[in-house]
Amino acid sequence: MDKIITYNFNEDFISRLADYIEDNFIRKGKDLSRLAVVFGGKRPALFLKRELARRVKSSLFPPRFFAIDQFIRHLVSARNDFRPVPGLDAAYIIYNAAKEKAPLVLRHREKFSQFLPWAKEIADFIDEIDLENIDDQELRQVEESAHIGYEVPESINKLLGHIVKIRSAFHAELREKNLYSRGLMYLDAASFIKESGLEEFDNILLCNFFYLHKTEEIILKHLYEQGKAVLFFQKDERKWPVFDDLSKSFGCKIEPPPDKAEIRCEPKIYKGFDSHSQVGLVREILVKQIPPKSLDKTLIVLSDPNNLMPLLSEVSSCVEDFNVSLGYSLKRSPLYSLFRYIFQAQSTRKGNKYYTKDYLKVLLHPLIKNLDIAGDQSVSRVLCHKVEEVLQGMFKTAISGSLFVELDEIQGLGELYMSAADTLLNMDIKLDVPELKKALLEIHGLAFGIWEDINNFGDFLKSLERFNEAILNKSPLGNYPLNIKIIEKVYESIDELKRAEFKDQPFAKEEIFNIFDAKLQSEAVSFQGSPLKGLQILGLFETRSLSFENVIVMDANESVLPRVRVCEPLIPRQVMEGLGLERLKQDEEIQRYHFLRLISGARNVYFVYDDNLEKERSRFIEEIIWQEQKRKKTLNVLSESRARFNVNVCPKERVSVKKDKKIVEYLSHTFEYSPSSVDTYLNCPLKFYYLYVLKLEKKEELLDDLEGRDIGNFIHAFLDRAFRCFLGKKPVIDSAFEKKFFEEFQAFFDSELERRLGPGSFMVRDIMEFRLKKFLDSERARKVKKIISLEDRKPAEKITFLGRDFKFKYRIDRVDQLEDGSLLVIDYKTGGNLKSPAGLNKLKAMACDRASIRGAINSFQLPVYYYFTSRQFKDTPLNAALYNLRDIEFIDFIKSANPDTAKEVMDISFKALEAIVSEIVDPGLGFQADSSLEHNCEYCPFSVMCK
Amino acid sequence: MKDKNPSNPLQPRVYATDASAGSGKTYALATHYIRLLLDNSSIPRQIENILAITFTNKAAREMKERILELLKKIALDKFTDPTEEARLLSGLSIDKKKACVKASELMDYIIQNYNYFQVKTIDSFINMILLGCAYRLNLSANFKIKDNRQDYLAYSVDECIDRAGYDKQVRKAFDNFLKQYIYLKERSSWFPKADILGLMGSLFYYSNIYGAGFKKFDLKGEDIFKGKQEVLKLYRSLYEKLPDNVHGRFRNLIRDFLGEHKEAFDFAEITSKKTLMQETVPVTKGSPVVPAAIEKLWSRIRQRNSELAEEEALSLFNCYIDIFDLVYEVFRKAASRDDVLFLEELNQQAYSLISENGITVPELYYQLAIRLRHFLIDEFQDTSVLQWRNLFPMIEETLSTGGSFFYVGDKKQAIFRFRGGEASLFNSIKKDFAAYVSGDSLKTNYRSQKEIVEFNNAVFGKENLEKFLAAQQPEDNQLKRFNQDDIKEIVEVFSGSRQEYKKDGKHEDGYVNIGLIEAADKELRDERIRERLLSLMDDFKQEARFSLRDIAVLCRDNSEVELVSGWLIEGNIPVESDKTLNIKNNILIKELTAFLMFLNSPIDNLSFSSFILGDMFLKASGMDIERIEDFLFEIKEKLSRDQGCYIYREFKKAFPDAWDNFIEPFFKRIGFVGLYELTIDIYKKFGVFRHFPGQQGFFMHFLQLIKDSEEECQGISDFLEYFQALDNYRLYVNSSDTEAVKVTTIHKAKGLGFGTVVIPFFELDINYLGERDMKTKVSYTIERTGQGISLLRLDKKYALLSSRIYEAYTREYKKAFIDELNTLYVSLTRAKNELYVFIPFGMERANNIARLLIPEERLKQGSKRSYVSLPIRDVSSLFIEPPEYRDWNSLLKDEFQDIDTVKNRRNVMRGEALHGILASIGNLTQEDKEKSIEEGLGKARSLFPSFEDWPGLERIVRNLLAQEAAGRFFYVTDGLVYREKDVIDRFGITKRIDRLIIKETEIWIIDYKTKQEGAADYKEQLGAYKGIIKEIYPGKTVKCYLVFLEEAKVEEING
Ligand code: SF4
Repeated sequence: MDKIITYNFNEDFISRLADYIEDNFIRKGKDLSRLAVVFGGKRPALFLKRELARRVKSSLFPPRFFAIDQFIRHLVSARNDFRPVPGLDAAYIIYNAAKEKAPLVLRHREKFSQFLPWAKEIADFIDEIDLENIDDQELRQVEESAHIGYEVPESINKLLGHIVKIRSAFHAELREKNLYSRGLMYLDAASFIKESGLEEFDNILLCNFFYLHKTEEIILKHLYEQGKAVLFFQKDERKWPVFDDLSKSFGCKIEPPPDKAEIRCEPKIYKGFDSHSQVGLVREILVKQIPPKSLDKTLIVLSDPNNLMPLLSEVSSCVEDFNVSLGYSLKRSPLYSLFRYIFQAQSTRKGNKYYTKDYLKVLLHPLIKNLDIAGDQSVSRVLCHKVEEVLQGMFKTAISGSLFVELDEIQGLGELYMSAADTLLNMDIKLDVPELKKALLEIHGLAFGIWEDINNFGDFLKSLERFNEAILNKSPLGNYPLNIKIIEKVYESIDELKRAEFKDQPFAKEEIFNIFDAKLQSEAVSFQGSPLKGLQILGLFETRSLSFENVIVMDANESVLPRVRVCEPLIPRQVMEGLGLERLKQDEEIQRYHFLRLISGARNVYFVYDDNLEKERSRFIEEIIWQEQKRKKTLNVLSESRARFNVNVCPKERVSVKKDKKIVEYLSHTFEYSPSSVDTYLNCPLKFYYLYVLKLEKKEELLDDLEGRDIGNFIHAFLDRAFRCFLGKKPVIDSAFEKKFFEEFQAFFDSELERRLGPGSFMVRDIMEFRLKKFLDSERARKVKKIISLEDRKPAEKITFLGRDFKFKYRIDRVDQLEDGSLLVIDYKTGGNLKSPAGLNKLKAMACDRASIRGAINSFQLPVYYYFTSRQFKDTPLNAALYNLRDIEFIDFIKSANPDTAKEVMDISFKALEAIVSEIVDPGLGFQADSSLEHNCEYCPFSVMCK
Repeated sequence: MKDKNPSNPLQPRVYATDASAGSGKTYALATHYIRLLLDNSSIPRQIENILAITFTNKAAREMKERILELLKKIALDKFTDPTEEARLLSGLSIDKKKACVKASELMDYIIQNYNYFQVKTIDSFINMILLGCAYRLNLSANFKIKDNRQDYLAYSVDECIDRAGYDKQVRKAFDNFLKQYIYLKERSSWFPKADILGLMGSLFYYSNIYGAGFKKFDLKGEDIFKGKQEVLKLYRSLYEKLPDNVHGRFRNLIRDFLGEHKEAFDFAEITSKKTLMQETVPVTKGSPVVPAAIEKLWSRIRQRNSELAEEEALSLFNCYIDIFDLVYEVFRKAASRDDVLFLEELNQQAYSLISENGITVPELYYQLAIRLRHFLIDEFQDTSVLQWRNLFPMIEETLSTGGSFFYVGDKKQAIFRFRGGEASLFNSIKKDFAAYVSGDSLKTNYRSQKEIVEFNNAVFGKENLEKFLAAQQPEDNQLKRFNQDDIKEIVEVFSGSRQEYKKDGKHEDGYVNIGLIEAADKELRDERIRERLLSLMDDFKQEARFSLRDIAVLCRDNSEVELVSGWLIEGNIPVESDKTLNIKNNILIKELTAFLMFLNSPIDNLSFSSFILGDMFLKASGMDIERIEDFLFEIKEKLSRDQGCYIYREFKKAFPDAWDNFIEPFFKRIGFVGLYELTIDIYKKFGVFRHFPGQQGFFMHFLQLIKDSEEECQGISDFLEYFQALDNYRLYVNSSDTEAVKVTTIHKAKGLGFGTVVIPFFELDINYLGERDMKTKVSYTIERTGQGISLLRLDKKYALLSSRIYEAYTREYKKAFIDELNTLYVSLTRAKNELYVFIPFGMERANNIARLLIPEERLKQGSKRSYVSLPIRDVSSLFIEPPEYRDWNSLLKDEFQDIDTVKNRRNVMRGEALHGILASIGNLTQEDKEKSIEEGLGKARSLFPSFEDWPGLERIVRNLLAQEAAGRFFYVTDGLVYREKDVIDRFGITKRIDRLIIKETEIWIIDYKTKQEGAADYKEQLGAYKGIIKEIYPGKTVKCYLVFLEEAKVEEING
């Protein structure tokens, strides 16, 4: 029997191997269970079993199959029932080793969580030198690099010295605890392979290996020399340095039989421009190029696992059966998002106070607000949304709008429960206040309370388990099957951490969260898949030893295919190379090998890549193209297609809302006009429709940053309060008043804005104080006889136009009688938008269309105020003005003292108002946006409704 | 550390190449790269020693492609253009045949050693260095690079504000800031926080560009306050002593000034009045000059004003710097806690590697495992000082050991100064390396037709520029006037601008048309330009001389792009621009996001109504918009009356079917499935591709963004925030082949060429000087000193009083002027065939001096002709049919187990652990019972380490073995016992039998169970085993037993 058998790349490895087993074992009636078959991974065994069953046409006792890791474990566990060391434990052991043996390594990263990434890095490095059987001596004496031309820097030598110490401490600790790292397992197996009889097997088939670590090489070589093993390789005519090394090491030739392929497959190239155009291309290929019956001979190599979801969504539209070897990242799951929110709420908590936004994120998470706490999910939902309404200010209470909030404050709000009880009653759920309070306490406990006092992993895991139990038993999580897998995975992580070495060590809560978060992030739930069904979607490494008729390679881009690690953050790459660890080269060669092996065996090959200008196509594609170009001696080879979606960049129609009878009726008789509604119409009739006819408004969110509007409301309200004492009197701004004024301001500020502004309130307060001071200065200087009215909110009054009465409502901030007996109508302004009608000349020149009116009148506020005030105070000289409280200045409505001017200005203004109102009620004119004012749309809340 | 390969005998070489627009810059770099490798003495491996640096990924990719393409052309001898061949090969020291062989070898080598094919962006190179030195930099091993630092800055500002509540020092910094804030009129907002954040962003940006911290000017606000009081005193004393013959206006102004200002004043009060700026005290006509003492006092006042103005300009930012230092400290802590670095910081961090950590070039090379000997840098004019400082040690080392440095760029196209690009490096380096520099300048324009080349030659020629600079000098503003040196400096920038057109017979035409547009104000200007532009587009359509896709309209900024796109859209012209291709502007995407917002927060009435009024819902539900409008109209009163009125609830009552069918499924599922899956379901339910085929690209891009967001977003509300904050670049839908006019900015057009270019607003417009905080619009300039960088306020008032500030001001003005000219240069050189420019003029407040730049006789040049466009869609374009989404979950249903299994997970594990123990117990007639149990427990423990109740399990096992019924399976005297025996059925599916006992004539299949329920399934399972075993042992009787472990009961299964 040949001990080294080499197949060509274009041979189906599984089928050839089945031939071999059939000829040498089955036909000879040998007991297959005494045969071991070892592959690089697990998947080929499944295919081989199917192939064997096909050939035997009956059930059978199969050979023992191993992936190489399993095989090594089998070897080692024959002597010793060990446990593999979990990653975090290994890191912790390294951390302790470093602390003790090489404390310098920990400088600037003393805490475990800080050191964790480096501990992992060191663990990986130790694993690697273990696998490659590199001893400490070699580490201590890294040779200078001729390549770089400089001696090894001192800093690097020191670091290596530290690593030697850490390594031996690490090994010692593992042995003591009967734990094994992968590297140590291989290292041990290599050291005692000569003594392992492996009596349970008569023959061992070592299949389709390529690059072998030094320890693997020792083991395999021993089995080979012992005569028990047969090695199967697959190779083509290309030069493969790995095979050269293997030949040398095994002292034999590794040569493939001649390539007998009749048809040379010409790959086709497809260019996408993002993930979705790529998956679209894949679907096009599946639908248009591959006959349905060939689908189970078809493979999609998915190089970038992040594209799994798009791919699944796309291919499921055209393929019935498929099998996926890749995992669904835990990061995408709702449960993970909830954990993140919980951790975040804890980390932004200040003492007992939760940052409200983060608190709400947790509370409103579907898994929390749908918890079945009091016999019905609706109870939690109603409660949680009530709390939201309270905090957002839709339902005003003492704590509404608070930036930070205590659980107790919320729990203590009687009105919250009453309101919730009412809502629930409408849904036929009867619960009283104590019951609701109990429910809220329970929700709070789960979502917040149990996470507050955590000092070590033990505490954390207890909370986590309690939490998981609640989610599992009381939330509808299980209605979505994927979630079940996810929570199962979380349990696995809990189990692992429960045994962790550092479980009882004190840790800062944030560290615990970070470590757990990192752990979850790295997890994926795997779809086990069944290789025996339909289209295969595999990562490159899962394709080892398999052959397919049709191969579609997706994401054939640089940095994805091959995926190599270009930088070594710990040990300089040059030093690694000095140690014989040519990771970069090897990783690339290994992937190139699998890639070329795979496509050489296929009849149809399709490369799909992202041709976005920022990305490069894979070097492997470049290689294939260059080979073709050389072969055909021309630059034009291989067909290429580029993906295209339909993108219509043509203009769209604008919305126009018809006025039906009801609306005209409403606007003519019921609607109460106001200066701001007319102003709104002036700027956009459509906006008028949404805001005033349909009464739609942007959701008020007290938790959002304060806006100019809020300041305006506050200052208006405050000045009204503060000046009320002068109503009907002359305002006297003396120091006593000033003192009182600012005291009141403080109190009012505290009650209205403080909570909403949080710690930053002092800045807004300072600025307000500064401006109010200037305002008082200005008031002191003004010649006011008495204040006639303040914040005068009148019931709607009538204005007659077009022979009809229209209702108008308005609110005048303040009317002063000045010392000269005239009246001044004042409108306070706090924003930058100081709109008032232009001077008489411009008004005179104004045409009667909406655009001209807008240009000249700007705003109907002052004209309307003027109108009503003059109606009230007939024959009194009058003016109106905007009072800008930011810069303390007045903008007068009537800009001349001549009474005729006032009349003229008012006549024109009213004509304009009439024109606008008549347009508003004109049934023939729809509400339509003004295209010249598109810039208004940018911040308009109705922009979704307008095309 | 010694160099073991001391310098080789080659002479160090620095090649500086000036590459005007369209002169084939990439080509020049690529050929240089190739020549380095094809040179006689080179071997392929030397590719490891070459690094080519670009500024963008796109440029890096193009460069790589170009190098490969040229190499292949040489290797396969496939030149289409003989001049190209000659050009390329002429510079080589080997003959064509040898070059062929060498190029082929080189290609093979590159393909096999792609990691060494180092054409990188500067950022990725620096990033690589940082990754390699993470340990040294006290970063973690897997730190992440983020491009958006806004959240971190916001957090840090909040944290500092919070601290101000209890930390006096911090509070003081804020108080100082607020004083300043209120004082500076331009920014009279009520919310300083947003402005602080904006400022911090700017300072962070500049500290990273300049690679240094800020240094405060050593003076307090109080000192200036005192100084001003002292000046007021001087004014007062002057006023009192003024003799009668002093000019009345002067006297009055001083009187008023003193009247208005008792304690302090703003310098603008002085500089805005010419009379107060006089050098001597003015007197009435014909009267004698004032006494010397008065003149002295006046000059003292002027002197003090000048000093104080300078001090104020320099110290104005002290309070900013204080806050920045506080914020930055918090920022760094947060970043290191989360293990992130920000894109903006890369260069600064790399610099600290060299300056603070003292890393040496050899160490760097050890980290990178390469030694670089040849550097090539593209677009050198965009290199920042800091970037240059980072590269310099390596380049210097290279030159000192016989390597080379090649750089190419164009000072005229330096339009990224605001990003730190420092065009002056271009010349200063030539001086630094004077000994071994050789310069070259690429003179042929391969892009444009003759007329366009000649037009630009005329415009940017020395004579015209000098004429222009002289003509534009403003009479009345000394701050904007150039002296001879300035003029020389500006003209020098364009010294190499003269180009030749490509004389291949295909570039002999071209057309330039410059239109002057007079308008008194902005509205009129826009109106006129709009008309002209639309009529030009009409002409293009009528004449049909080229395709719409070949037209680019170049604008100065995004708001112009918006405006112009809007005009064209109104004029029914398809447009590709930020406006039309930005998915945020797409109405259906807006509807979709409104829907998601509603689902995320059902009380959001506006989002819900936006959605139900939208086409997506209406088309799918078949409802007409009037019905919805009616519905909303009907509930309006309730809506404004009732606090808790939510439109969705009313809708549900009014239209239960539509609710159940279209809203409820999502309402129920939100949060339980990923957003990606949910969105696909929405697409499916609302038939978006069927109803809106033209919007496919937008819908797909939205999905892409969801997918891309998964890295940082958890859940829908995170995504919505993320989506809101995305920059335009990410929101742009890819659409490479639509028949539409492109509207883009000049900055984005750099490096590109278009058939026909239209420049609608050709203006030279200096908006601000120096650096500017975009939020508060305060201009300042940055001066680098030994200890850091200091900020100097740029304001006319200071410049007019202080000569130092004057100098800074005019220097910045000159820089801004050059930036503007460069921008105009870039815009005028984009056209291949035809160029149309509109120059507005005559506006009241803005004098557009760009008009003076174009010589009268050049307003029209060349003639029109037809140009062949590229085909609308290249032949290989493949339209992707929209998918018919299905639920992939159901296709993988076998994968999912039911929830009870998870709930019972402890029991399940218990069962598995029991199986595990029993798997170790062989035939106890031959093996030691105790040892077996022990071994079984050991194995099971290592397999189920989190399981605890081992004594319980041991009891069960012992009990089992002790019972007669079950015991016989463990004490077998006449058969072989197999444990966990794998069998495969005829389809290749593996089954594992717990215990298999093979006797002479019969076979026992034993299956362990921990619970009694599920008998039917058990039977089926054992039936299957039986079938398999019967196939293998056709002659034997097969018996099946269930062993209930907990009860130690055995049941034989028949049939
Ligand atoms: S988005 Fe524009 S058109 Fe629509 S309502 Fe608002 S302002 Fe009017």
